[in-house]
Amino acid sequence: MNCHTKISCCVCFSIAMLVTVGGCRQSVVKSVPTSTGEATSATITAENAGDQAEDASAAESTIVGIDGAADVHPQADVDTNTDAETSPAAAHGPEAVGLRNADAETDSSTQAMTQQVAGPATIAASSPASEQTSGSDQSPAVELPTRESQPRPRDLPPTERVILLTPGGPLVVDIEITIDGDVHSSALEALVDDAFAAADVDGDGQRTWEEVANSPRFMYGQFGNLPITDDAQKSQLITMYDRNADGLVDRDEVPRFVTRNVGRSRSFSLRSSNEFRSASRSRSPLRQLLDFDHNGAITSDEMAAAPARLLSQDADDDQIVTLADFKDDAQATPGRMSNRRRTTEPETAILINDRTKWNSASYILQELYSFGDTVQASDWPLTPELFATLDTDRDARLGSAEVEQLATVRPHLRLRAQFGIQDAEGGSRKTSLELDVVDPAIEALVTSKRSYARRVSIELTGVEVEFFVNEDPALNNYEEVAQGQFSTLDTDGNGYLEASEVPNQLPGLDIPFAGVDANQDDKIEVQELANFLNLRQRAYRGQVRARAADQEDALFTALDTNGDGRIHARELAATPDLLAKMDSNQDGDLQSHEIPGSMVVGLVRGNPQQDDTLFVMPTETTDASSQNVPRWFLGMDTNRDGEVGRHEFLGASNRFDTLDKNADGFISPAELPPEMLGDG
Amino acid sequence: MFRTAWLGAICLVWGIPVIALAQFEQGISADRRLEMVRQIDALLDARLQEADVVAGPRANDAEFLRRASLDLKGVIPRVADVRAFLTDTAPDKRAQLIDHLLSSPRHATHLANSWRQFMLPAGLGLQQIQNVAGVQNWLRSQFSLNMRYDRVVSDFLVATGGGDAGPALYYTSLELKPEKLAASTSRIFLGLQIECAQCHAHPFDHWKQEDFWGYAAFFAQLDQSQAMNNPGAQVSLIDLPDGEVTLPDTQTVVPPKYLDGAADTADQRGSRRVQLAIWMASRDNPYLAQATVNRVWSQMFGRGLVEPVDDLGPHNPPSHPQLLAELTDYFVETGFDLRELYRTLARTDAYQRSSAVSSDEPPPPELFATMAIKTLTSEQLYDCLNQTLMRRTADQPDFLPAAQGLFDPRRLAFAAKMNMQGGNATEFEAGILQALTLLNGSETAAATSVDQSSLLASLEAPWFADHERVEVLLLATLSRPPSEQENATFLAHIAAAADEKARQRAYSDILWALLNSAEFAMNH
Repeated sequence: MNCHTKISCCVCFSIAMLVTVGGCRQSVVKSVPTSTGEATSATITAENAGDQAEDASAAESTIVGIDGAADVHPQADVDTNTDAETSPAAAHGPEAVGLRNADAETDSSTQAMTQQVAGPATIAASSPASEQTSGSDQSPAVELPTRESQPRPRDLPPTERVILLTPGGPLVVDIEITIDGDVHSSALEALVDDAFAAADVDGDGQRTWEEVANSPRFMYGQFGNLPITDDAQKSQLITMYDRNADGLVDRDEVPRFVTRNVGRSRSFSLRSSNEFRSASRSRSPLRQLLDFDHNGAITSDEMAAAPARLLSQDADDDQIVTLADFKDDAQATPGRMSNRRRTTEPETAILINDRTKWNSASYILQELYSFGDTVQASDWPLTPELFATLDTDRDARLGSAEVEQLATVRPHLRLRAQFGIQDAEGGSRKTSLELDVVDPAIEALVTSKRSYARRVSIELTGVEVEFFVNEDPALNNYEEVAQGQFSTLDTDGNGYLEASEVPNQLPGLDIPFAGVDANQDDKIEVQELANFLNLRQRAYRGQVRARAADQEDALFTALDTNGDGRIHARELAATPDLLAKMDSNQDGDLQSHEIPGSMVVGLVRGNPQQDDTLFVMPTETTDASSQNVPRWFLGMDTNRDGEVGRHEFLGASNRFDTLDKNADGFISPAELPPEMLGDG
Repeated sequence: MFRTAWLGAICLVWGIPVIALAQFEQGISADRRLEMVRQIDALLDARLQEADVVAGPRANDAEFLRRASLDLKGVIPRVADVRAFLTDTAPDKRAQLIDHLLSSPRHATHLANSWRQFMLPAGLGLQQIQNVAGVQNWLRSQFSLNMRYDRVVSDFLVATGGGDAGPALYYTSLELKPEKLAASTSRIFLGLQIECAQCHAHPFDHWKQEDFWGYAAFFAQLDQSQAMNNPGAQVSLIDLPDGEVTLPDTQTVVPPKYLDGAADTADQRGSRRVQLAIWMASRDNPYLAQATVNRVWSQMFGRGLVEPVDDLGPHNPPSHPQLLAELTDYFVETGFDLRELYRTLARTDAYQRSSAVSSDEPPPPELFATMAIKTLTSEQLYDCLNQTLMRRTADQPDFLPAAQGLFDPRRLAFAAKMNMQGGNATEFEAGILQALTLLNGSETAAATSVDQSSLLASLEAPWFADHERVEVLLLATLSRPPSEQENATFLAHIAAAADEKARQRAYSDILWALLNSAEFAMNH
């Protein structure tokens, strides 16, 4: 965009500000409800739905007086972010409505599927349109919605909608996320509110960026922003965050400021990692190992020889084969999710919200399922009912308008992810995950479902999907860290730290003294330090990031029936039968496309720089100890597969035969006589 | 054989895969193997007779099992394996055991480990860990396919990177300097120490300065690809069209010259490294097969036919010249088949002799009258501890990268502490640090802790009688059942315990004592 528009935008904006200062702004500030179904979300997402949108947008536009194109200029700056999934972060608030069209033009990323954090007028986060149109009451079109005037939240809590692109067809997954018991957007909202309120440092009713840059409450990075140490940084800060360059802090400018992240200043975001989209099955390392004659299929002879072949790769001879045994990668981490994206591969998942680019979504579906042609029913063998539901004009093909209904159809799966739930005694915080299959047609196709505390895996015909949650424990340990620092530094033991006890910056924490001393009494108490650390982590605590990817080796995960990332002796023995079962057309050859797909979706919370360590699937399995298994049994079970094999057994051979009742070469806890259980 | 080797070498130049060829040409018939086994014993016995020394007795089954497991698999056998072998009544069970060990996947890992240790003697410092791991993984993949050894060496020499990242890392660890590469490759592959000749004529051997630099000239045209400057990128080597070495402090260019004095390379195609690789694998090269045979012999018997193993030459004659010559021919005959070589040596009577010495004065080691006692490397010791103590695998917290094998931080730390500097396998050069580590270190403490040790927990099984528990401890550590006296001593110690807790501590004491015994820490 060019300067003219920017200037005119500024002029209009200033006029508009003069007109609407005071009461209107108050109402704008107050209107930050936490639940969905609010009218303005409806107005934004229901652009297709007609009039109310127009009226509401008109109402909002009068406040700000900015035409749609206006904010494009600052947005163009931020388009340089490398995270391909996101469109420019901000565009909350009043501009958001008008900006819808502008975004479509200026967004440089092709797959911008992001979630919009509630701005003052746009209210809550994620609500997918399906929740709204199913019987919501739209608020009155003309007046600016405030928190008080919002309709009561409906029964269903707010969810994020993700379309998971499995090989057999798209799965619609609604994800309900809570943080500390509240809907997930509220944590970040509360932080933004606090920062926004604190921005009026001198209490004159005006919030300016100058004030913020000079305020000791911000300049040490308390709110998660970068510390400001010199004048050059101050002006950089102002330029970067004051996107409409009016010198004033607008509420919609705050999220980027506190999360320091252009692309991810929202409470939920999704990254579709497509590195193994086609390689997962066709170039699976395990398939290549078993396909000894390299003819592209695993023949029945090769199936029979599979256990021996697998064992030949067991480098440490513990009768367990892991993925690392096949790969040359010296430090393969089992369960780590790939972060890489290839431009030549189709997407793994699409995030559906009010900012979804439907023509991109339509294109993605065509590219993946129908080789670029329009999608037909036969392209989705897993979800034909979904096709029928979307194909409203019954022409046996899906046009792009019909694809947009993905936002409103009923979901197949419903996931509930809870972050930061405190356990009963108020001790440590945990995360947990639950999955419900809500669509009966999908329910009929479920062959197995395994639930653990932080991980759920579900097997359908032709695909296996694993969901997991993970959290950085560093998010909540600020009390301990503060205590630790205190005990190290408070050498005179008077209960507080003086400037003399503290080196220039608190060691390891990069915080100068003045930053922590909130009440400026030249003493730092434990609580002040804890509060500081707490505040700094608040932005991370309020954001959940999701990553969807294919497993690196679909055949390996298919053979690893208990999902612990290792093929142990019993699974090895079962391999030939499993391979034969996968051969769906029973022609004796297992081809790549007959291998079930294997996908993972991870949800994490924590410092984005730690994402590569957080996006690692937890290897939870049914712990043998939970079954009241004796200690000696656990001791003998060296490879932790829950059973004691002949090679692990320490007693004499005839003793083994006595205990192994079904003579399958393994002693399972079930075979132990009752008097041995519960012992030790 | 000559034709085949030459054909294989040409295939190398023109890129035709020679795997099929190699597989047909590898291996040996059972009769020929038996003949060689008998010949080895005959030649050794003849020498013993000359020296008027009596050969030692045969090792018993437990001794043999432990020794063969350590030499062929790199780790002591499991309790279940010991029990199975000791109760097996098949007459050829030792031969079967050897075959079983050689076909185990751990054999390839063990070979890769051993080879890596003499190829990269600098050790497992953390800064070189990527180099080390690269080389070892590459070696392991070659050994697990039982690739012909001459082919392994050729591939190693001409590696450019990419899939052969391991060898490329070896090159870069020596900074691509011709003199360093010459000294290193001649030592590890050819058993020749020619680095003295870098500056002057070799004092003992016949190598002149021109010989050294003629060999170094083969490495003169190397460079690293400049395309990737970021540290995470893979190493990539390129062969330049020119580059020469000169005698130090002069301008005299030295053309490439093979070490056996064979004629010049002017009209041969391919880069200099390829030419060198062809010569390495060819019949004209007398050094490769001989050096390899000597090394394998020293790994099995604790001492090479030529000692030190990387210093072959007229100044260092072999203890059994005819044996070395015949074994070298045999190795070439099998198609440079390492697995066959190990199998043949393991089947000899000499390998199966006990290490026990009955007379006051032990016979000279070069006669091989008894089996030498070999030390374990620190990594081997750690692996043995791991095996004995039945450490549960996958003990890491969820979101830390799982450390496996080479990258296990505990293994690295242990190896660093116990690192014995001497290269000689039969000399135990542990000092106070190593002794204390074993006595009191965290590994031992965890191993013998009543709460943490899986082995001790397993002993709680109610169907064990006390003497069976003692037996398990001996089988797990020393791979043999206890003697009468040991039984009596240990059972008395347990009986003296007052309550359950004291009994558990008594078992812990016994385990600790066994772990610190010389019998555990040695390969005898």
